[in-house]
Amino acid sequence: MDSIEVTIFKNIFQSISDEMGKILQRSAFSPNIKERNDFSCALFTAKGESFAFGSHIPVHLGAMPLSVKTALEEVEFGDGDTIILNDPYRGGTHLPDITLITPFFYKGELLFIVANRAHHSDVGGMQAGSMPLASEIFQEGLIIPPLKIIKKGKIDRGIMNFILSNVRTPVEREGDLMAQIAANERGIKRLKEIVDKYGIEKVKEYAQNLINYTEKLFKKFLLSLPKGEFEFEDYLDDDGFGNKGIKIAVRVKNKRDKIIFDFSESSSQVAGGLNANRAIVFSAVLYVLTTIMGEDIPINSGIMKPVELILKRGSILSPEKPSAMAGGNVETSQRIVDVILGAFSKILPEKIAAASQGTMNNISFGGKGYTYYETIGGGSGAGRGFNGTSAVHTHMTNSLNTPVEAIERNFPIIIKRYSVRKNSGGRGKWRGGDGIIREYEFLKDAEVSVLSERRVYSPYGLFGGENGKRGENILNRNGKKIKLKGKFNLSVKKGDILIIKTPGGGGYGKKG
Amino acid sequence: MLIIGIDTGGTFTDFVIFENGKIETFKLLSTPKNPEKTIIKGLKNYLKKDFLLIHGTTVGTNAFLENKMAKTAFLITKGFEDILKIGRQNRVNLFSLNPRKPSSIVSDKLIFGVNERTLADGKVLEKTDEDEILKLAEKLKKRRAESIAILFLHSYINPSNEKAVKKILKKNGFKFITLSSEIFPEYREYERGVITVLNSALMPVISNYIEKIEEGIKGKRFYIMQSNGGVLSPQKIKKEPVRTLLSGPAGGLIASRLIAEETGEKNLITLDMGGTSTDVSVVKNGEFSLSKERVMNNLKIKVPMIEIETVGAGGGSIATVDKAGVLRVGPQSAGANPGPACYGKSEYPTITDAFVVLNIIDPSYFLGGNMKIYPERSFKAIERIARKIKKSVYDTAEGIVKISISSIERAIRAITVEKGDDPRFFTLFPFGGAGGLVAAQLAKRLDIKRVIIPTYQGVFSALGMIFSDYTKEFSSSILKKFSLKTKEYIEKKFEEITQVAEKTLEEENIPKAKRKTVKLLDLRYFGQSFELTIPYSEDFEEIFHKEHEKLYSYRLKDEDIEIVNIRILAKGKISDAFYSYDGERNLPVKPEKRKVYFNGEFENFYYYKRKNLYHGIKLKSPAIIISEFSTVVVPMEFKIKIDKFFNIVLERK
Repeated sequence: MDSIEVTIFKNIFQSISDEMGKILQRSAFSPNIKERNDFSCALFTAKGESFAFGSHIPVHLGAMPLSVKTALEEVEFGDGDTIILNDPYRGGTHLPDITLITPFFYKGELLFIVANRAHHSDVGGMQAGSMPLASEIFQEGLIIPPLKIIKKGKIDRGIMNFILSNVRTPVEREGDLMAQIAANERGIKRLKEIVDKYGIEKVKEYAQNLINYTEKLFKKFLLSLPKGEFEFEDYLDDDGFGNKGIKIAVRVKNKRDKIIFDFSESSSQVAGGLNANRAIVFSAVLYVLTTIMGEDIPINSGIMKPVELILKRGSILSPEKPSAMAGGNVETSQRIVDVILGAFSKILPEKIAAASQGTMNNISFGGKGYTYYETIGGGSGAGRGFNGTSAVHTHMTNSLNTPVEAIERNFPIIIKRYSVRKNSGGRGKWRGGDGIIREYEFLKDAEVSVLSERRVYSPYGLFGGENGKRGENILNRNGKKIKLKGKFNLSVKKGDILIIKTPGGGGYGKKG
Repeated sequence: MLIIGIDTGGTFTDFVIFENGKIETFKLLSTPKNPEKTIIKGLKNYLKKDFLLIHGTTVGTNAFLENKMAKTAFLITKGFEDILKIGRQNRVNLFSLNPRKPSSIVSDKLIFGVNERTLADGKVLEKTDEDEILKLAEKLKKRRAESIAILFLHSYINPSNEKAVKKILKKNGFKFITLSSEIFPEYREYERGVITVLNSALMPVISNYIEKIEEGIKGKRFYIMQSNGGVLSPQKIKKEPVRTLLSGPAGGLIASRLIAEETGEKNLITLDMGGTSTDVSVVKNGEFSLSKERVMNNLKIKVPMIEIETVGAGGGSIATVDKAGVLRVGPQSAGANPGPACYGKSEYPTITDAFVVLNIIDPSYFLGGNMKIYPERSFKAIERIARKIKKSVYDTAEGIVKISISSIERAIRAITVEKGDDPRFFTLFPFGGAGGLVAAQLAKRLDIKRVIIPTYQGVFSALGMIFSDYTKEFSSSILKKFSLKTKEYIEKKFEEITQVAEKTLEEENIPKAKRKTVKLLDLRYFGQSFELTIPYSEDFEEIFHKEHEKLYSYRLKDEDIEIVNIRILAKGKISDAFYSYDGERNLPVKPEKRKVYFNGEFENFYYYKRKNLYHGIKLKSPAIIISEFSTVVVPMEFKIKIDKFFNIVLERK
């Protein structure tokens, strides 16, 4: 591995994944892709190992390689084919995330694979937006197993029409899918240019070198950690179907040349859609590892090689079909991060921060002719030397808020208050960040559903720092305040005010 | 009349003087603490004559970047005091346990909630209360607020509450007040708030600066460059200083556009490589592109600015070796101070040092021989890196150069692909000190056929100043769905704004014959959250559909269109400067030779001094061409020409 060329090739390959992303973003229909950047693009070797990754979404990190791996195993593909999938039981994470995978053949040889994944704002199912509180995955939307959507360069209209017939917004879906196809085409085109320029062997060699380079950096990091085992557990409040105190537990075993994350003590699968899968757990693990390394490291499969996951079948992290999974990606993923960080706090006390809000506070409401969905930020945990940050999205998400003026213009709603929830961060030598208070006054009757966590179990403090305050959901009806649960569906009346108080982050260190 | 362009930079202040068809240039050392001192010094010899001064300033930019702005109070609808702190609730750094957010600029003690409310349809639910504001005025005085920013919800549609408060505060002696409805009458409260607050915080700083210059030039005509490449009068800039944040670089793009026009090269990728970073920009069909916003200091600033992609690779970028033994370059930079190892104040191995080691930069002619540099220090610094990666000092130096080129290449691809363009159909146009060092190699990598290195590249921004136009934008939020009724409404609105625009041009003493107003519409399909700007015409809906289809490959129906804003761009020609050229002069030049390390070996390059080169001269490659301000590297694969404007033109053989 030449120590200069590896950086040059890193730039070349990343430029290709950047370019795929620009094409996808530019030609997609939906704001979720165009503005919130809810997509990722990546390049893979013929074996399915990623060597360049362009993403704004941590939860896609570990998931993409599993999609490619499934596609390689399940579908026999040739030049000009593209595979589509979203099935969480076969390489996906949750149904709205659709992945497209295209092989790159050069002179008859499978050299590389390009793939991209984008969050679609609707894939059918029982509720607009395809993020319902459901008890079976069938209710959550259309399940797409690995299928050839393009055969020998030609789009299979049959499959395309089948998908479009099962979603609420077919025009937007087709546009987004076409954008995903265009992104992969661009990736293939640029790879071909690079191979023409540098030759097959060199490009293959440097794709592999880049993976080895990351692996090398990562192993140096593992060596810097103390050997041994350390564990942590925390809880999800409930699944909305009566299961309370759902345990997520991890035992981390650092063996220096590899690191094992054993989640087998976690709760059994649940009825409500908080179930996650290997792809989501992998993403959470990689997010934490990348974050605590704190180094600018090329993100690719190299970081995954020394990582081993142990999940128990039938548990909430490896559920049996047809468990519902919509919330695994958005809520459970946050708790997985919390427990991994908690475990690492035992060996890296100076590097790890206390728990952040640990939920995305998913709020959706709708009435005649409209539906709306948003997530609300909260406090981040404090760490050694710094206070937490207030009113921010943490860990596995980073999506934007919707301006008050935009909401009020588009929906029969007035926002009465949007402020930092003072003193909700856990106290300590360093304070946790504060949550948010957002108050919605309904000008017309509406249906509201809320999927939120940390209403029962608080975000933990570390080393004597206090816990962050739990979130609260309140309904103000005729001046009377009614406490609401963490997950609910509710019919609100004109004049009702819904008050959401999001959790604060945990504090760090004893005060005084 | 003389036309004078001045661009204040961190190290030098550049002057370009146009007189009787001739252009003269010079540079003076900047006085960063009092930039006006250098300006007045440079103008001393011209004060007896009549002149028109056009100035690009970084006073606002620096005050913002260094957080040395005025103490500003923020008045906001009660219940929303924290909106600057919450921002868009996202973090800047994805992978960090200490998530950072953009700074909120205003200190907590100076944020005040005001009882008032306007709704989305413009209806006032609650008026402001005079007594409350009077009490507030006392508080503001006690807390020594120097300027005031006022943001009330939905004021873009009905500014009456904001205006009422301003009136009271004005009466009570507050001089610097910005209303969100005046500076940026568009919806999205956070973005509007950022501009409002920044503008207020810059007002005292810029006013003070402008007054000093006005004093120094004694009543001569004077304009200031805005970030969008047009100029405004100092009176307007005092009210809207936020418009100067990209004032300096804008001049460079105007000059690029001019050269594009003169040489017939309509499509340029400009490359401004400086000490800490490289700015890449695109001139397409003879026009540079504007973006509606730019992120500076992690803050999204919604002011029309020239579109620039910045990469952290500049002359001062530092080379390091990571734990896996891999060479990296930047983004850390040694800047101008302490600067690269060869400046004598640091031991940082930088890109500049790499060029010194390769013998491409001539140590005896750095800045025309005006700055002493120490080549042995470059060798030492690069050698330290070379030992770590077990390569020769020369191969290491070349590796540093190649890595920086590959990261600039990535930025160029990003900015062109985003607009659906292919870099191969552009001409590369480097200016700034270091651009010529990497341009030809970059062109090769991007498959670009032609490189033009302009004549006045050392004072390029100042050159652009003297060719700039007065430009003021007027806008109004519409937020209505398309219909024939809306079309009538827009027409009426346009008439209203046109009157305001014409009045402004009148006030600026721009004669009718030199005025031009352009009507623009910000349109989108209902439900989208981004807009396209389309010139206003009878059938604008069709033009919008077509443009949308071209960019995003689909179109919807007329009734799906939402008219978000209307804008008027009022332009006035203020400068009569033109670009002249010299005849052909076939003077023979005898180039020296210089041994340069290139592509893994020492090679003899022809060595030309730019000042000896004229149009028509035959030049040979490979070559190094040096001037006071820059060094140009020409590999074997390129032919060299000097065109009639003295530009160096490189073409792939």
